[in-house]
Amino acid sequence: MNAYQAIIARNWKSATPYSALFELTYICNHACSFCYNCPTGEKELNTRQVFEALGKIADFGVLFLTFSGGEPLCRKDFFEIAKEAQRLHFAIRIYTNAFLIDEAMAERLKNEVHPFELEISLHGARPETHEALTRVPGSFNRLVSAVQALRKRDMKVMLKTPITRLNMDEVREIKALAAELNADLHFDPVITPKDDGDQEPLQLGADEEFMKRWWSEEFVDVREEKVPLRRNDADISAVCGTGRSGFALDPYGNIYPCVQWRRKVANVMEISSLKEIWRGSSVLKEVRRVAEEIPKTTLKNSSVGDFTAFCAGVAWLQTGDPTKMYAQAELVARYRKKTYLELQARAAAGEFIEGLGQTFEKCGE
Amino acid sequence: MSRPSPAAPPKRHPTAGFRVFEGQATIVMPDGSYIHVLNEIGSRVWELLDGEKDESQIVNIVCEEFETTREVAERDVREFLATLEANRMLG
Repeated sequence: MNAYQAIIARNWKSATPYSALFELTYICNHACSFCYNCPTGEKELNTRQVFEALGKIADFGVLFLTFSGGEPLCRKDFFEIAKEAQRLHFAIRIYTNAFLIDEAMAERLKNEVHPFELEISLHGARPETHEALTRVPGSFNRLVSAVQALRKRDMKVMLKTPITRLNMDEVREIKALAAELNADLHFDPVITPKDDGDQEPLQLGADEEFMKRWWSEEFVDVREEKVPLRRNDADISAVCGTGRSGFALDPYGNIYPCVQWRRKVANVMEISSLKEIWRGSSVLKEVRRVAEEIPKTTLKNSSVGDFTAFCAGVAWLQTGDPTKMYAQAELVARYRKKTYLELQARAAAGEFIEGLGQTFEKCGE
Repeated sequence: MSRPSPAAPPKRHPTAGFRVFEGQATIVMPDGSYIHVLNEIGSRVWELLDGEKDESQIVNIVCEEFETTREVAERDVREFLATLEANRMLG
């Protein structure tokens, strides 16, 4: 364990948060069919209020700050906000669809915001696939140009691709496109419900036949997880970092234990400091208790528990119970385990299989 | 990258993201994915790099707070600043 990992482990144990995700706006220039946002029509925080929120987050000791949305770059005051975040010494990450990033915007981001990473959603290797989800003509070419502009300036880009029925036959081409653009790539095989519990986005999820193939040797050259990894609940007992390693804020200032589990803790405008609520909040206490319970119950009692990347927020949205195993997690875990056992058998027969037995990072780690 | 001038007080790079967790400064630079974690003395010096205190003033504070000789503190601070400079963490 290196010095950084030791700090993370200590912070997890003491539930000292080091990251926050701030949805600056629900305004977006895309109309993605599976977007999880659920705007309420309330008034979003203005510049002064966002500054106040940032000050409270900084005072609380948070290091990593992710600007998300909606599309954060749609805010007219985005650069003002980002500069304030930099003044407060946050390490800044931006989740964006990149539609507004041209050469001039890339230059401003590089010189005025200095994010350590931009995460950009890529939904296909071709315009027709990507735009079938974004529902904005031209968004694919704009994304490609944006990544080129950012990479030209040595800015770190992580392309994120949720695997859907629409793009599951293009994963190899998506991988090649990311390589051509010299960007990192992360595939996510799980589609989540909307924040209000609407399950419609799940219809877009890749089918079981694909999932079976995804975890097989066929895609070992595409998956970042070459060898299926197992959970490690020995060092850190909580299933994930919800209400522990970080928290999330929506554009109205509401604070949640994480981006996925939307149980309101407080509104940042109605508290004097985050310290005031972090230890005493009944919601956070409950969320942490549940996160600690899941490895000992749900995962321990499941035949695929060791291979399950479990999200209490998704479980809550899908089943109404944050501790209940949900179909997507179980499906992924089943094929992860199947491949793992096949590789383990080959290893037992004398074949050297690199990485076998390693564990995956938990959400929020 | 080199410091603006030899006489200028050393200063943290303005784009560095950082926090001090239990006395250990954790620093994220925007031009790389490496996360730097400093020890107790390094963390204190990092906090002192505000562009107002010169190297000698920093050495004085280190001597007072860590009960070390001036000779040792001077050497340690100089080496530490050279390391930060080599990692483009001064600005």
